[in-house]
Amino acid sequence: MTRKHPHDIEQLAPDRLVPDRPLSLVDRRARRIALGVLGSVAGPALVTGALSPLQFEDSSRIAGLLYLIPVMVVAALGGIVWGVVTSLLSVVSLGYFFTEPRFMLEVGPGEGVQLAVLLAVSFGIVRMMGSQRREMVNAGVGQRRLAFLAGANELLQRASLDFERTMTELARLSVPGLADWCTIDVRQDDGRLRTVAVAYGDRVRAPLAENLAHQNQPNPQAQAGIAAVMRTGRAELYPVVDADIIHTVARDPQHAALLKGLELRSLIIVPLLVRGKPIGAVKFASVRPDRRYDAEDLTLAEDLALRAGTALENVRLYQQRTHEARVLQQSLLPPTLPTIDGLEVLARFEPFGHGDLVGGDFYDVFEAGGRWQFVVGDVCGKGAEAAAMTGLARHTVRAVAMREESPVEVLRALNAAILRAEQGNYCTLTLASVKVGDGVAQVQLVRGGHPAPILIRADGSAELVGGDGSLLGILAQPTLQATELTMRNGDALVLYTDGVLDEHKAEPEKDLLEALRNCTGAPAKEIADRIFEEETETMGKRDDRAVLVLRLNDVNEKGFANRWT
Amino acid sequence: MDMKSEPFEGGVKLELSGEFDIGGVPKVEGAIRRLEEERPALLILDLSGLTFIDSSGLRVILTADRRAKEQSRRFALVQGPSAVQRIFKITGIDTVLEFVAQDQAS
Repeated sequence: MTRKHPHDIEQLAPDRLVPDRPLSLVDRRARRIALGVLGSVAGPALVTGALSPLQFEDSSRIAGLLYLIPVMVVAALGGIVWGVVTSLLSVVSLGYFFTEPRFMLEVGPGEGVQLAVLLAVSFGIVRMMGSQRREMVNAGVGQRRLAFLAGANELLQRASLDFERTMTELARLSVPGLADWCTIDVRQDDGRLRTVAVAYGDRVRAPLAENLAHQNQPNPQAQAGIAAVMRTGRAELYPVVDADIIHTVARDPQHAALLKGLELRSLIIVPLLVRGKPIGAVKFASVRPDRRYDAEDLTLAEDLALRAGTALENVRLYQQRTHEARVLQQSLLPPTLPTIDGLEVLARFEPFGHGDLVGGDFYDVFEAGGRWQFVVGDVCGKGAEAAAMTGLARHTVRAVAMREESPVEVLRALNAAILRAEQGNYCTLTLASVKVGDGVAQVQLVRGGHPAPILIRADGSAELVGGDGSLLGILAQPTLQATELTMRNGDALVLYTDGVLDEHKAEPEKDLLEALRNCTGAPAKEIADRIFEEETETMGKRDDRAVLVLRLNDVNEKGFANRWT
Repeated sequence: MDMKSEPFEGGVKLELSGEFDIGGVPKVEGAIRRLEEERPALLILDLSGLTFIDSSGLRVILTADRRAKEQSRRFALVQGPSAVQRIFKITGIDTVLEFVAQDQAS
């Protein structure tokens, strides 16, 4: 990076782009130096001139002391170099004009000593003031950096799953403490860069900053700027931004003009790295003359980008996992329920958690051997293992039911299949095999270690039904028995998983029965609603909830069947 | 989920208390496996201090029972409160697992 004369910026930045442009860096510096020089020479000169008519023995000494004041002013305003320059100038002028007209040629030992002492004093003061100011600035910067890092950490650890919002907050957080203008670009699936976050402070003109966020794509082969950072994965630090740099980092002339309009002073571009690969870039820009980025700022920015990259990756993985879980879960549940004459069927399923894991509950409805088969099951565990077991259970039941009429034998076959799979897992399941007639249905019910189904009679009574049975996949010889039921018009059979029960209680089914009493004539949806409303505090939401309701329609209700919610 | 192991003449007892759900699985599973390394003739899991157990907790018990049978060891449970016992009843394994009285292991 070569540093060019600051004037180049002026030449290349047409005024029409920035009509309300404040004083440029050059203007301001020149004005400050002029004031300093004038103050340190004219001030003491006037004072000495005023004192000389009083015929002081040695008016130069008074002037020499007085001139320290403007030197201090200059030191505070400018820096060490200008402090020394103005000191020299004032000493020379004082000596020449007031104490000894031919001073320049005849420097006596006295004047020499005086000059040396004054120089030393002014040098010391300038240094002291300069370092004090630097310390103050550094302390401020350090504090801002710390505050920023703490804020960023908190932000990224909150594990916000909305990546763009997190990035916007991050950009906002960096303004004004770390930057006056911050943008975050992320590479999209199509390879294009998209600005996902922009933040800027009072010192940046909003229209310009916003415009910059919607720029053309950078030339991917650019030697510097965001494209280069994305290509190489290496950060770029521009302590001083000049026209050359703007020309290099700009995407096109319009972009360059906008960048100039922003009057960037200092710039950092860091890559957003995910497993070492750049997936985006963060730009921090300063428009303040007193904030020039250094290596420390770069380290901070890189650190931040690393964290942001990790956060992004986590979000992406989480989204991917949620998507996969959803796809898998959907493949394990019937996409629609069949239409069954005379039977209203409703399934309601509510997975536990944020949907990032496949749950263990499942249900199925299918026809086999001239009977409708209703299945509600629960596999121990979550995730891939549970999904595999659910698939095994669902498909085994479907396949076996095609050739095996006895529901007990279907469950025995499933028990054997799970044992053969040797996953050390088990499943509980209720199978209801239903033969629908005219206003009556014959039900064969088998419970494989699953909570007892509820039969709601048309008269409003409700009872638990089904005999005992052991869970499947653990015992070589499970106990299984079929219960025969007859359903009449208006009767409803409710199959469910334990997620709808408060299992902290000794007899949670009682609460469910109570909630379902007086459901006379209620459609399946209302029955499901009542069950899902039965959620107590201790239950929390620690499990999936699945409910399958089959209700034998009243004759006059025929055709109003098969709801799906 | 808290636990405490207590050796006795001819075996060891692991007392569980609190809620035995998926969160407690690694802890209890690890503890049982450590106790199994000593090949105790009788390993008793005391459920009397539990307030809740779910299917993951049940699975830990079932796999421990299976390992014991494979290694010809005796594995038994001390009954939990009725909310806990209910799960064994519903899943039909109350008749398969061995339950012992509390004082058998003291």
